[in-house]
Amino acid sequence: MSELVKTRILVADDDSDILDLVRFILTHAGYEVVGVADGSAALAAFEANPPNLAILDVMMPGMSGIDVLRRVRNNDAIKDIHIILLTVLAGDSDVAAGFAAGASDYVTKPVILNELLQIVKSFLTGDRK
Amino acid sequence: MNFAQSHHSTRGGGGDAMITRLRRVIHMRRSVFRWWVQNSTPTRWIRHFIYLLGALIFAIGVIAVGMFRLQANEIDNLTLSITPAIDTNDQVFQAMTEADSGLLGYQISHDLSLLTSYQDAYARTVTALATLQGRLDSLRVHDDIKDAIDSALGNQQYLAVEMWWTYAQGTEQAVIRGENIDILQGHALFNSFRQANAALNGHLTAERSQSLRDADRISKVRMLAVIITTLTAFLTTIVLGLRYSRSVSQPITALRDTMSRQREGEMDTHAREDQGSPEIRSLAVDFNALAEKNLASLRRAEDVSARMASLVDLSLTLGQKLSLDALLARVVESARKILGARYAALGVLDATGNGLAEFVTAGLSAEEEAAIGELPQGKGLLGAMIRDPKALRLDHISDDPRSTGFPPNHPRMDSFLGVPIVIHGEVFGNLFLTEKIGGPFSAEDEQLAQSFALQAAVAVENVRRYEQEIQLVKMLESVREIESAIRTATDIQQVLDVLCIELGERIGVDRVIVKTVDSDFNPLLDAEWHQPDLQSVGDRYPKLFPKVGGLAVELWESSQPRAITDFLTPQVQSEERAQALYQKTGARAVIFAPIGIVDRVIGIIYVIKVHQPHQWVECEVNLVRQVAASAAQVIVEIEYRMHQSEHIQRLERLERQQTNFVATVSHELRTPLTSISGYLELLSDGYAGELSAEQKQMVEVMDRNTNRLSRLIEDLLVLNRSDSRSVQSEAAEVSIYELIDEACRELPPIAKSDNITLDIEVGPIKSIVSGDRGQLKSVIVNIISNAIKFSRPGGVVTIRCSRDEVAGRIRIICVDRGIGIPAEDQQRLFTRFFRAANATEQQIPGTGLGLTIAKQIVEDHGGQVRLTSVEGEGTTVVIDLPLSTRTSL
Repeated sequence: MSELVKTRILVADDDSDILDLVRFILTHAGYEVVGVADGSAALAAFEANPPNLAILDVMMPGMSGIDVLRRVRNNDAIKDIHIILLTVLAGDSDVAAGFAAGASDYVTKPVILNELLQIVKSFLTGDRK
Repeated sequence: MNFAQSHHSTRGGGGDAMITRLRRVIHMRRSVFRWWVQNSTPTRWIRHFIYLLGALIFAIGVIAVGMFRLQANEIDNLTLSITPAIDTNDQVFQAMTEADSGLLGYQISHDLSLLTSYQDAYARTVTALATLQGRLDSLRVHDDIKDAIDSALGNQQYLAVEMWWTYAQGTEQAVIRGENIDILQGHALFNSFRQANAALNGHLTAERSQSLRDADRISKVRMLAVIITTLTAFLTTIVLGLRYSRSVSQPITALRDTMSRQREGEMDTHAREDQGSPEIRSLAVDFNALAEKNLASLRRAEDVSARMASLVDLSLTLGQKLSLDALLARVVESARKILGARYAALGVLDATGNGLAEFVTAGLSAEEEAAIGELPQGKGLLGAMIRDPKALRLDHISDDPRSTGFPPNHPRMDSFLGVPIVIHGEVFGNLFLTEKIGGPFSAEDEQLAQSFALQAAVAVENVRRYEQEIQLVKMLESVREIESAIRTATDIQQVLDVLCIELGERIGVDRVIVKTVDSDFNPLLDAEWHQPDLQSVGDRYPKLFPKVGGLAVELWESSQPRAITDFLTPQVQSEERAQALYQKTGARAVIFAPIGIVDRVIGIIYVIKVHQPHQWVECEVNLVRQVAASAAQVIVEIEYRMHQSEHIQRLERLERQQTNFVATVSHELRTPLTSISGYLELLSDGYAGELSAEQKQMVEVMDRNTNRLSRLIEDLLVLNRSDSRSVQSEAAEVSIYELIDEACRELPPIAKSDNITLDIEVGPIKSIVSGDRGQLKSVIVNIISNAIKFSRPGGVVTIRCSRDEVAGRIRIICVDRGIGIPAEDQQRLFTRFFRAANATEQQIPGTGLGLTIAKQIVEDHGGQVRLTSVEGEGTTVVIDLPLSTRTSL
């Protein structure tokens, strides 16, 4: 992992506290974090400068995390990017819907940050695909 | 006396008397013939002919016998007299010839022997002569003259024989003496004898021929006579037969035919009175008279039986389920027939009893009916009969001063008979008969008409009862149909609308109005139905029924519908609201029926007839009452349904709101919780610098409570989900073995930290239950984590699994040796948010929802959860779940 080309992670959450929290732990772990507060901005960030991985909240104003996920999965240029959904929706059907839309993983809030970090790392090191 | 007179007159009459007598005899003979012709009856006729026939047969006999006698005489003559006489004469001749020959021989030869034959012959001659004489004497031929001739000829021969004999004796002597004999003289004498003999012989032969001829003639005559008489008898017999046949047999046959035809029922057949003998004619006359009489009595019997038949027919009519109209028509027609009237009518009194509601007629042709025109309404005699219901019989209608006469062109009605028809002491109507055929009505007719009216009354009564029964059945049917119709309504307005239409169309009235009132008896809803020719009173409702509530209450309290026959009676009209109702709706006859249930007055039904007063029958009133009751029930049911569905809707809304609320709140809680727990993690992990021991302890408390809050939210969400949707919606085949294995791996790390041993033994059993995998797993996790949570450090939690094939279930047992649950708390363990006292005291974290959720999920899967516990010793939880019916390996 080169110092110059940092691994870039896109984080989208409308709750700025949580966005900051996730950004903090990831930045601390050495990743470049791009934070956005809604779905449209997330999609724009995907298309403008595709990240190595993305952590998306589901319930966001305007375009939801699931919508963004679907758009990305339908865009051949960026469809293989790992996307983790991080959401308060913990129902079985919610989880199923998330995976159906193409989520790489589904993590419910409240989240243990270390666990999240482990998941992110596992995707980026290629342990999980 | 008669004889004496006759004798006297004869004596006195002399010669003239003789002539008179003769004339009288002739006259008598003529008159006898005439009498015979005129008075001979067939019997006499036949007798006379039979006499005649007898006489003829007798005559045939007499003639036959007589003729036979005559013929026999002739034959007797021939055989007994003439023929023997001829034979004897021949014998005389022969004997004489022999004697002569002998004599001659003697004379010539003088041979004496010859004399012997001569003497023998002579002797024979004498004998023969004597016989001849006797025969001639007995000879009775035809007449004395001829007999005399016979005798003379006999005598002549006798003399000739005597003369010859004298000569012969002389000769004999002469020979002896030798004298000469004169032979010539002998010849001459013998010749004369021969002539005499021949004469006699000729005569007798002639007589014989004559006799034979006579016999032949007699035979012919006899034959002829017999033939003639036989022919006559034959003819007589034929004539007799013919006459008998014509005057007796044929008429009798005809009469017999007539009789048998009569016997066979051809009553119009008459015997011919111009045929046959007077006796038979008179018989035919008598017979015809008898037949007439029979016919007359037969006609009478027929008439009587026709009347009887009509009565029987009428009686039968009673038995039949006729409509009243049909019955009245039958009664009138029967009455007309039975009483032999040209016209009959039956007037049925109307409800007021002062006029006629109906007037059924019989015997009127279409033209006559047209000529009569309108039905009579209480005028003239009919009116009189209405006012004074007594039998009335008139030879001429105009005789009665109350008669008002007939309009022009009215069919002639002269004789009149009217009888009232009374049912239960009440006059139903009158039976009228006019124009008795063949004379005025008799007292007998009046009686008949009265008994007829009596029968008609019974019949009417029966039919009325029957119609009432029918009406009752129809009413019940109508009620049922109306009820089922109004039951299809979904709201009260619709109930009222349907009620109006159904009631109006079924009961045959002009208007139906329904009003409901609210709890303050103010008008609420209304509906209306009316005949197409009437105007709606719709928009006038508010003004029309301002006091509807009052009336409804009044009626409901009396618990009876009110039926008013005539709204126009002063008594009814004295009421203000009645006046108003009449003015607005034209109501003439009304049924008011309250709609209510128990002590609640819902509304009122107005059933209205407009044009005429109407005597409501019980059925109609009951129908309206029943319908009102049904309507009340349906209205209350609809109200209840509406309230209920409103309630359910509200509950559902509430439930939805609650579910949404819980979900939303949980989610909304999680977001800040995420931040709190995240930053706490950062703090405790030293991202913000090393914490002092005191700080660290504080952060730990915060962290612990954050976790607790997090679990609470988790549990709330689970509970909310299982409350709001059917668990079995995600039924799948779940292996309990796998389930327990997974659950143990997902257990919170607490078990390890407190050094608690899990003794899990589910064996190789691969029991399958059908259900929601996630939910079932959460149950197992919940139960096991509870057991761990309440175990003391170093404790053992035992989990066992067994299968009961017979009961078709799987049992999971979880045992801990923990703190247990106080007995008084065990009952309430499965209630939401309840936590046992020792759990809270020992600050063991928990939400009080776990068991509630577990119980609910297990029960949703058709199983059950039981918990037994002793405080301080431990708790055992038993979960039973039904084995999947699809696979149970």
